[in-house]
Amino acid sequence: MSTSPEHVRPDPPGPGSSTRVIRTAAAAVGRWPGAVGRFVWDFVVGDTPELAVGAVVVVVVVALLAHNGAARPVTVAAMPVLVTLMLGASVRRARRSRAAPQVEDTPGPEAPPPG
Amino acid sequence: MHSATVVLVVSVFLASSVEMVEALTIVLAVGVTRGWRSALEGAGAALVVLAAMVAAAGPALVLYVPLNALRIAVGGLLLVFGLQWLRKAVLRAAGLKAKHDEDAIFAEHVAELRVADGSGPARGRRDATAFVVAFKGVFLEGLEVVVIVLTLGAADHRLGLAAAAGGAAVVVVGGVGALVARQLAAVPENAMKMAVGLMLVSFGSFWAGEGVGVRWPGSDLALPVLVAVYGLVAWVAVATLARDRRAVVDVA
Repeated sequence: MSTSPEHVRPDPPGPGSSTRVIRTAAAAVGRWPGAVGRFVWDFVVGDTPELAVGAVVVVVVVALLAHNGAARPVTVAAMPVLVTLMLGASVRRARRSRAAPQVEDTPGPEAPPPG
Repeated sequence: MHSATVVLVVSVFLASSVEMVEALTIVLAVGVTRGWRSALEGAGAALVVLAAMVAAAGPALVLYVPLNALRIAVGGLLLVFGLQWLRKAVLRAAGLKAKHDEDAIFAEHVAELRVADGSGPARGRRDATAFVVAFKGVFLEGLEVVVIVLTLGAADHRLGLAAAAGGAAVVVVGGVGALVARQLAAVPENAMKMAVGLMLVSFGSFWAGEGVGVRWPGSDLALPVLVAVYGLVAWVAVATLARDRRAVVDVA
């Protein structure tokens, strides 16, 4: 592949160049929704999708209880109990995913020498 | 003063303080390596954009969105954010996740910025790299505060108070940060994050519950009770995780 100046010089301005500029701008605008969507997903959901899904489930369950004649103490207690269960499940998931490699990667005092 | 108002002000102030400490670390790193003028301009521009977002979106939320719909949406969002903060704080307090080390982050940013341009700091002149890095750091850290100010302020119809609490944190942390400069590692960030997480989860439960028809006993007085309940849950979680971790280390 040649790297002579003729090959790297930009094309002269003309009808073709304005079309390219419009295409480039259109492509950039077209990428915006995807980029914004990814940013919002990372911002709200991030690496804990279980919490985002769990929050929706908690609100829906409490709404169903409140609108289907459940006793007031039940609807009042449901929210903190469900939120506590969700936090516990998420923390347990994090502990499992962290504990396994930590135990394997860190040899204890009685571990045999490598090789 | 209502208990809900106190919890709102404390939540916004603490959340803003924590995010400001993280933003300040970036601005200090940029200022030290690339010069203060562009670093401060970038940080200032980001604060102006964040304030404009609150000013533009806040009144629209309060005026045009039905209160119950707003409380369900706000409650759900606060539950997600609060649980994320609380989960990280619990894992850090139990020793299962590395704590936020502002000294290490500062050193990392300084090293990156020195590598970014071999010509060294452009003191006294405009520096695009410094401006962009400071702007991005303050904007991204501040975005979460904007969401917290908007959601708490709009749901409680106290947007001005929430914005004032956030602004006060920016001024206090900015002023103290300028004085102590590189001693940001001494800020008890994890304890602050734990407190913010507890309050956001409590507010989230309260507003989402009100939105879907839960009638909390004592109305606003239920908020401090929720904070206490979740605080107890977090304490038990930290104690249990720390005990399990010690048991695993002893076995290994």
